Amino acid sequence: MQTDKIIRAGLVGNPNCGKTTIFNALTGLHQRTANWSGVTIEKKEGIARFGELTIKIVDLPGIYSLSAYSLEEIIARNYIIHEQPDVIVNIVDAGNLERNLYLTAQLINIGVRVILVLNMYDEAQDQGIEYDTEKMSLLLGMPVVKTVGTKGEGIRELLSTIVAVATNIEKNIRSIQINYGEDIETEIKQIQNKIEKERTIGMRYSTRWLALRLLENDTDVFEKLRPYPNYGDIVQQAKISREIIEKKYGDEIEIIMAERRQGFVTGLLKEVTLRIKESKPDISERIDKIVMNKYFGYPILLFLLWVLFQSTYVLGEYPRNLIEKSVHGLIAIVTAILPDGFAKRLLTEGILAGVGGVVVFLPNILILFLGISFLEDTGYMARAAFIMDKIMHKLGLHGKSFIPLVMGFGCNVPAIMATRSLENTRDRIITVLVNPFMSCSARLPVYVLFASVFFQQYAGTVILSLYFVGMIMAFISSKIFHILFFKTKTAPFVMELPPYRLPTVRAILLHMWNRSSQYLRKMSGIILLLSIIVWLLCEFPQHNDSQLAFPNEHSSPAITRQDMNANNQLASTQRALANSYMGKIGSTIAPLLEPLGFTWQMSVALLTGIVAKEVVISTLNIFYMENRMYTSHSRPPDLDAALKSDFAITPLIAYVYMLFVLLYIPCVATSVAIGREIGWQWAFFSIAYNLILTWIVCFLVYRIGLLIT
Amino acid sequence: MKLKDAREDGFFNNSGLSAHMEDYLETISMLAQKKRVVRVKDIAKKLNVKMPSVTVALQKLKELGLISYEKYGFVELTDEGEKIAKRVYSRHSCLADFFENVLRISKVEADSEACKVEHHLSPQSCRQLKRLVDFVNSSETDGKWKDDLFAKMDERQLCELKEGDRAVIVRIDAQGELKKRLLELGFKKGEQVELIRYAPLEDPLQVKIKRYNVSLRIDEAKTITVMPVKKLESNANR
Repeated sequence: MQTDKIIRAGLVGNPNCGKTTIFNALTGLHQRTANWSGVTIEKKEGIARFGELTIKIVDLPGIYSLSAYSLEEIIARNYIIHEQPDVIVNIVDAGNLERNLYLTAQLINIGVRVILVLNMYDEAQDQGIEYDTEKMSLLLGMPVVKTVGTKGEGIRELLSTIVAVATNIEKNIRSIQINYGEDIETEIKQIQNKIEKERTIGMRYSTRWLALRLLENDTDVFEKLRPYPNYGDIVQQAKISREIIEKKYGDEIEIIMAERRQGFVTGLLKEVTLRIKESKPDISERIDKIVMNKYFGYPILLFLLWVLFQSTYVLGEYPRNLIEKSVHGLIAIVTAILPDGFAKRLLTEGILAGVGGVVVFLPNILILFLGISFLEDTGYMARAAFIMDKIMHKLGLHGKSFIPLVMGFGCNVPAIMATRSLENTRDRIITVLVNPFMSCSARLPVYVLFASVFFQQYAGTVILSLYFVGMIMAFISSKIFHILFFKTKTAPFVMELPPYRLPTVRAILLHMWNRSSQYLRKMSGIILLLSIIVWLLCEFPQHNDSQLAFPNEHSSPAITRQDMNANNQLASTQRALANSYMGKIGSTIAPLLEPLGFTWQMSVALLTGIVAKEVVISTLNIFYMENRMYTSHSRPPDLDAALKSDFAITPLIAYVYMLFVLLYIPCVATSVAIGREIGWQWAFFSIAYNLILTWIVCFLVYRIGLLIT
Repeated sequence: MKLKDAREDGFFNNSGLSAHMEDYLETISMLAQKKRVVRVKDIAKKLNVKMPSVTVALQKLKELGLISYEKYGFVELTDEGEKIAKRVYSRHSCLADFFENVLRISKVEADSEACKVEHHLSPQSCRQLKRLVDFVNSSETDGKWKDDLFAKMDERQLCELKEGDRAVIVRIDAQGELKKRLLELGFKKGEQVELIRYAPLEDPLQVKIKRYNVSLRIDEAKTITVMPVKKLESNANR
């Protein structure tokens, strides 16, 4: 036995079989999360140790079968076939073998060695189920291990079995075949013969498995065989065989084969079941009666959401403030120590402020994922999806989109990360893309400023209308995305409602830790970098005050020389910003925004707002007020007057401006979250789409508004 | 033959009375069979109407000479009234029979459906219906066609079941991804499912299959044809 060899193992299993729990039990904190190359499906890898040996474990996506319909299935299958792991660990819910073993039946003959793990065995025993695992092992030709993932029971045995299988000392590994019946077996043999004409195929794949898949018209397998010279023969034979069987049994091949496999499972269970009681109405059903009740269902969901929202954003406010204060404190200290100059400003206003802007999300993310993983692991999430699906489906979304969308009202970054509970890629992409339209809390200061100045007593109504416009845009966009990208397919909703389970503290903490570390590793760097770039754009090029002149002076008649002379210092800051690259870009794009009634200063403010939307206010402050450090929340009393008089902003323009802030380009952090979660092409699409949509909506509102007033 | 008698007796002929009045006669007749005497309050209870309304109606029927009735006394049908009541009742039972034994809906539903339509059918339609019902009910006509007909009529879409109903899957017409997902979750011919509940907004629904719960949208459930279990047991041919 080589001691330096790394054993490679892959975990496969149905959703809700406790696969993640086993993965966590095996690897502990030695795990990392990435995406499978090119797709947005999560790939988890971890390391387990057994004596001197290292076992590298890959957690494959949760799947019900290996027929390569969905992306998840293709990923799992390609991993098994192409990466040839030393062992596949097939985890099944012991209380639910009838369904779980269907996947196991598909793993037979695929050409890898499999260990069957009967997880949650204690739960099954509580239900009165007991299996003869030795017999099961004999009949399946694979070792069978009983585990209770949450308690760590059987994990040691599983590890030793993995090692035994990988080092070829496990005696329970045997090649068996599912007998599909004489007629089908004959056809399988026919196809197999055609395949085996080319010897190299057999070296890569199990030919029986290939034949089975071809018989079932598996396009992915056809693609795999395309390069071989006998491809044409194989296709021909598969087609003939398929027709023969379909004609004989008068049904579609997939149905026939699925029934045979299920027959195999049923037969197997008959052999190995020692006792089984008719399941009595269990606790899950009793809870369901309440949480899915006509009258209590929605109040309970709303209450849970309220608790989740409050704890994420209200409770999260305290550590958030603490972080902000520490960052400000740090900035103050650095400011005091370092001599004035560019280096100091880069460090304080660029880097430190940027870091502050990144870690400030952390408390929210931690708390939100504490809540979400609790809702998910207990099984409530599926129920929430169940009662919300009708409404969400009408809007082109999925029942499970509901929670991430609501969380978006707090902050889009954790909300977008929360879309991971949507298993279907299409639903998830759409939920992510519409999330920025949920008006996050960072946009509120902008609304408050403009609404209170221009709409006084109607401020509340005006702000509320913006939230509604955001939601309407989200739903219109979801329809548009469906038409643009997913026209032909609607993903089935068919979803398991797993029994309620109490998650372990360890599982929840691990989940939380995973998400937060992911945020810090994957997103923080880019967000920081982009924040610094935006800062630099505002800062450069540096000029001497005397050389500066205002660009676009003609387009801002409200500002006169006189005004500027009144406050030289203010003027210099204004000019610095106006002449910076950001100011230049701002004034370059200003003509684009002129049809919406915005001045060039307003355009520059929007541009700086891409770091975080509340920054719009501080930029406006720089333009319009005395030279002072403002935070997003402090608003000098006479900014009101300045907005009205100096910039000739009418209530209509103010409303359009608020609309623009609501809808335009997701902020840097949100864009990065989109990119990281579903791919950069979507992040860029989102930016472009939002900008175009915003412009059109604002233009229409402004022009129609002008006509009416 | 029974059918001929029926026509000669003018069983399905219209009485010329309003639906309302026909219902009263029918009710009185039915109550009279069960009890020795019929009181106003019995009628009111049976028809779920207020006592004064009953009194008004009875007064009218008395004027028509169809019943004999004294205030605060018992109600009795005259011979003429008895005849009309029988006619109305026979129409009802023929329809109920049709709904239950040909359309194969539950007895309770069949009864209430019959009540709704019994006043509006022409005598000819009634006679024709009776022909059909007798033909289907007769053991002489047993055969494969009847089994097929009953099997067809007993089929339901999964989403037609009521909460708590059990049924056996007959056929799945789903396509593509949906079909595959259903298959791998164990939805197949012969498998028993129990409809646990509909979501508060009626869509989606929750079914129990094997030992676990699955939610399906109504559109998805429409692709699954089932046979309710109770019907299956009562069907002697299976």
